[in-house]
Amino acid sequence: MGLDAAMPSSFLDVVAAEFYAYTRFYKNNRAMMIAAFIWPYLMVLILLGLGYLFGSLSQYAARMGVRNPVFFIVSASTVAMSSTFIIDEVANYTLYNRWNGTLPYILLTPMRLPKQLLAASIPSTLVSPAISVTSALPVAIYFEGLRGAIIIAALYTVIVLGMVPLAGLSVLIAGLVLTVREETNIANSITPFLLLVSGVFYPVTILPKALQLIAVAVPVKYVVDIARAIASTGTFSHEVFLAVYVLTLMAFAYNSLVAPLLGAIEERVKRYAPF
Amino acid sequence: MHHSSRGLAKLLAVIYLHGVRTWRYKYSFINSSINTMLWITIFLLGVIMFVPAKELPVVAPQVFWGITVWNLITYTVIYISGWTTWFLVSMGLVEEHILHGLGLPLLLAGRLVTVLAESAIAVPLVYFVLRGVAGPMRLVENPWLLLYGLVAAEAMAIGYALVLATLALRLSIPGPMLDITNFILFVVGGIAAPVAKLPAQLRVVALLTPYSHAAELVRYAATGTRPYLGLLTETFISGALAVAMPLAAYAFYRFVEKHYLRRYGVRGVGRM
Repeated sequence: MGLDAAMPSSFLDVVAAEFYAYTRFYKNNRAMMIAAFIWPYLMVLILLGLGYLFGSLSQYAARMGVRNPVFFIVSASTVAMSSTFIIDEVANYTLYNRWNGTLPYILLTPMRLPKQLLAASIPSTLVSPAISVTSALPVAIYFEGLRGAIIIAALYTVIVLGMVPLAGLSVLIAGLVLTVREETNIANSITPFLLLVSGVFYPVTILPKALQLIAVAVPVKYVVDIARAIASTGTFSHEVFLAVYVLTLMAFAYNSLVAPLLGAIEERVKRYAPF
Repeated sequence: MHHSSRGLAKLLAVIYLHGVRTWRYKYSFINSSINTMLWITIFLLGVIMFVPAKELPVVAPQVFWGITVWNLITYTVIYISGWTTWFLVSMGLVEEHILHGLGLPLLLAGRLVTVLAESAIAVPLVYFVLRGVAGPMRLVENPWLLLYGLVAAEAMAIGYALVLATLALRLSIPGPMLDITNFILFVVGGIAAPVAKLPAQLRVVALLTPYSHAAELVRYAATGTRPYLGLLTETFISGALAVAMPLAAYAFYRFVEKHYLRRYGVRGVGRM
């Protein structure tokens, strides 16, 4: 009898186990949970605080073309906080297990490494944005009432959709981080780079032309576009549906491009035994 | 070997080993510097949307030095107390250093090598971004006072980080909480903007924040913005805090080492 048959663990079993581990982690580290709720507000505090000290809110609203700048900044912060979690959390998952000496056990499980890492990414992809949008909910309801709550729920859906094109990439980076044997995720500057070119707090048009071109291929830009479109008009315009369509196309295209590389990464990780 | 020469040998060994370690993990280190610059740029571009174009040349140097002081403080805290949590304790290296007669305060203060190397990359990058947006800036009027302010801020940060690192030896310090403190202090603690610019209630918070005094000195030395409490007072307060905070932190570590670490050991580690 093969090992797979002796230890029947489907992908869903592993996802369920990762969900359990993820929620227990937060249960046992409540300070982390509180911090996750506070983080979007910290971004808002910095931007509004510095903006207030050095300029004015009306100037920001006029230059950004948004109806309610505070609500927009809260929405944009939510997107910024949660939209790229997938890359960071998957890469840090491998590093954390390496420091704790549990990585060899994970690598020895019957499941292929890319699938294991993908399973590990799903809880954070779903839960992290949920925490961020939940924290933004009171502000949304305060400014926009029931409509605000609906907008925040829609944002959650869009953020999760925006994660799908990044799934393969995050697994690739997690494998890469193991093979280079560094102390931190050497690719975590990808996260702010994606946000930088996506124009999370400013229009992309103020960036150099080269960065504007790169932005077209970045999924997070479309998530930000949707947040801005909703915050500026308060409605779901055709721009929103167009952005959702582009994100769906990107999900298929990017994961198809990355898939052939995942096997090579797994082989490299197991050969160099990065413990 | 004479006591003082043994101490010097230890100091040189710590500096050398942190230097080697920074080189060994050069990709992590370079990535960290770029990461910092990118995050700062994201917020800078956002803040610029609030500022009328004609005011940018005045605002930009103040923002630059605020970011520089904050960068030093933040990375000192992360690279000392964060590193203690995620690396030193996880790898079981605390007891080994104590048994070899190397006190943790000296070992952790050596992380300054990495902090300064990180700042040497990130700060110029931030300058170039800001210069690209605001144009050429005059950055220094009094270099010695500027250096005094930066050294004072760094000494205070080392003291604070050592207290957190000591706590992390027994408790599970929530890392994000450190970031939260740093972010809040950046805005309300008189680091990002002159204390005089803050609303009256926040001014009290800023004056109670040790770093604000060093930041006021740095701003004065760089742009001529007069400190809220006056130059002489801020020079004295900054100097006193720069000496008192590391000494208090050292005394706290010795207390914890004697009463907890040597009796009960370092806290357990694990994912949960």
